[in-house]
Amino acid sequence: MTSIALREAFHREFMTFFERAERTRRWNVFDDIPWDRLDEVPARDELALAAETFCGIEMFLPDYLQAHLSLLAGDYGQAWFSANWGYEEAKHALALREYLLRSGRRTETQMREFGDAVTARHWEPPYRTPRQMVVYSALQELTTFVSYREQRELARRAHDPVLAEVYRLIGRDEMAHCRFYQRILGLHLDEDRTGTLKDLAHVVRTFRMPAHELLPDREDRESVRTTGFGNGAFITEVLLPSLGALGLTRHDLYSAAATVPAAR
Amino acid sequence: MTPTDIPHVLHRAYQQVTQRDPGTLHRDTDIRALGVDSVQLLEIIVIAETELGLRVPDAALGGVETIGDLYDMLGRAAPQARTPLPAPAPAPAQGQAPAQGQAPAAARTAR
Ligand SMILES: [Fe+2]
Ligand SMILES: [Fe+2]
Repeated sequence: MTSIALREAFHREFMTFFERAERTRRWNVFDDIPWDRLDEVPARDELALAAETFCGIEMFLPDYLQAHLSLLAGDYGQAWFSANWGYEEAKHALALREYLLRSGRRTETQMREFGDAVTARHWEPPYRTPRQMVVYSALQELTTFVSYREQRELARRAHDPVLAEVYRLIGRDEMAHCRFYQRILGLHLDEDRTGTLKDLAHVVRTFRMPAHELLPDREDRESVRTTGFGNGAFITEVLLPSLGALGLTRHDLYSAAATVPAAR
Repeated sequence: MTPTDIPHVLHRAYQQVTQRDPGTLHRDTDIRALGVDSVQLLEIIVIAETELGLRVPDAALGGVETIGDLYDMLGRAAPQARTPLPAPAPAPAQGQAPAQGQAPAAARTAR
């Protein structure tokens, strides 16, 4: 069980996150996406496939949420964060789904079949302790942000103003989630530096993005998964910035973890 | 350790991280083809930096594709900065051994 002091600090972080979200980051699927520009959407299969792929990953939300909440009994701040996070993540799948339907890139039947294929599968959380899940979430949210940033750029270059704006709104949420988890991780480091560094090293060594392997037609979607992550970009775009945000270096990570077996 | 130790140190770091023997590491071998992912590569680099007393700038980490790139990157790396020496501890009484397991201050790396 997390200490009272730590749980109170988590709660304060949640309130900071929530206030900022309420005041500066709220958006809605119906009014804040330029649906009046749908006639400009190009008929590009790769953009539609990417939107559908990310929609599918976001559709595992019930599994993600269940995993987080089941680990957070008695942790008011993080549990409330998860509830709010779930609301924001729900909009991501909905915005992408609406884009695919309203643009005519997918039919209702196609989306229903895709949804059925997705929900037939089940995502299992990769870690079993709340602190490791915080590490995982911090890395996963930043990785997701980088993916959406890349996809936004592809949409922009293809002159798709609607999809570019969908990705911008979603990406901004992902960055806010990443910052929250980084701050929670910072509190963990303050309380138990060695143990937290070990968790960090373990999760870094075993990290995989969620749910890609659970989607139908997985091979066709492989290029969507790797867009933006060629040539060590996970290190330069995700890991090193994450360590930097925590005031750590790569040497801190591996010196504390020297006793953890490197097996993956 | 000197730059001529780089191949030997990298060989050992590879084994430590992957638990596999890479055999002879040729300069033109693609690191990914050895089954090393980017996180493992980073750990190999950190081990090599520590053993060789070198520090590679973060900006150089993204451009490594072959074993030769790795040799060259480490060959160009600056010596690691040292932590400032702490105030001298009182000399141990005659015949008293220094505390076991403690590295000399000069061997500890800077943050
Ligand atoms: Fe999301
Ligand atoms: Fe997110």
